[in-house]
Amino acid sequence: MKRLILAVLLLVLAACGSATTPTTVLNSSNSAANTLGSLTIDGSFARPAFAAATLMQTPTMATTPVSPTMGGGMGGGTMMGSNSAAYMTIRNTGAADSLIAAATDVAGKVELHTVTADGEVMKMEQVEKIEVPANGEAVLKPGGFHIMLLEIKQDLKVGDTLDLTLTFEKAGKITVKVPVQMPSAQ
Amino acid sequence: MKYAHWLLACVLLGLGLSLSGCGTASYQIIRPIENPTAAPDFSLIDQHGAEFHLAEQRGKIVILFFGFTACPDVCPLALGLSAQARKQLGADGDKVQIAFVTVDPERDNPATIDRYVSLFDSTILGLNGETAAVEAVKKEYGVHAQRRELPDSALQYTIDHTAGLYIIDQQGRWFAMANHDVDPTLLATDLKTMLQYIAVE
Ligand SMILES: [Cu+2]
Repeated sequence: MKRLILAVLLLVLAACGSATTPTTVLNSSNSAANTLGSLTIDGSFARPAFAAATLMQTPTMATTPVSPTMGGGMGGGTMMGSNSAAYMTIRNTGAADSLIAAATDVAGKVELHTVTADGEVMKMEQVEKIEVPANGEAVLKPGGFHIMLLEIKQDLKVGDTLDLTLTFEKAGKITVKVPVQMPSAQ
Repeated sequence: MKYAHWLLACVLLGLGLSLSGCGTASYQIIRPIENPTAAPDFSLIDQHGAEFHLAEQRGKIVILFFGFTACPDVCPLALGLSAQARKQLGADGDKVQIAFVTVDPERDNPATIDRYVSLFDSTILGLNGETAAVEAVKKEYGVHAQRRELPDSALQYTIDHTAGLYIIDQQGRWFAMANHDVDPTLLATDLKTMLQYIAVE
């Protein structure tokens, strides 16, 4: 009976030419786990970015119409590079701790941020620390807590890896290797 | 357990399809707008200096997103996921145009916009224009964007803004909305469905 239903369904589906396949989403993190005391950092990634310096060589600038009310950056002055952000899960098997700072050679400034939704409006805020609860975890992910990398000094391309030093209030410092990946919703 | 669920889902889907005579499309993740009407037309300048006229995109699906290149986290996600969905369409990706309108015309310029969108997909068009023109587009699409100073941050300021994806169909209608953190595979499936069910004149 089940088979009959399936066969009929297949026919119906085929006749409609509609392909409806179930989708599974895999978390494609490939970074190695890193441990500092009771803290484990894994699933880290940073998103691609370009450096300010290479921006100067972009040929499109010369050919683009310049208007005084369009793009204040076009009138010269300092050129900003793009930003990147690093994400990860910090697991804790011990007492509560907090991520209080981060640093990397590829960024001039590193800040801790979060994003909150105010209705439909997304707001980014700087935070002093990201708490890692006792026997719990802190999840840094797009649309939430992140380590913001500003003043990027070199292009970050998919496949690159950057060294990111994390400072925890109690556990101290650890340097983790963070692969550059396209952002994903996971 | 899971298998049984899928089976049930398949049966229901099959029934739905056969009842509707194969004529209605169902969508997985985008939120279609009831009785969609023409998307407000506008004209802005892309990062290559060419005019982008929405009405001229007819025949293609346009995914419209409002953001800014210094955008910390939400904009890259929206653009990255849209680009991944477009890529999954293979050759049909040519029938989808992703367009990014800056809500930070003060800081963004064609060069930064170009480099920025290219991080995700070099076919994305990054749109800017006279402040008044950009403001008009934002208003038409109900985009709220509010500059907020960040005195302690190297960013100096951020722009709080609505972060939905506006999906405009091949007939130029404001067809659906999707979240900025949409699953790219499901979005690709929905775009495929749109390409299949929405006639191009
Ligand atoms: Cu941020």
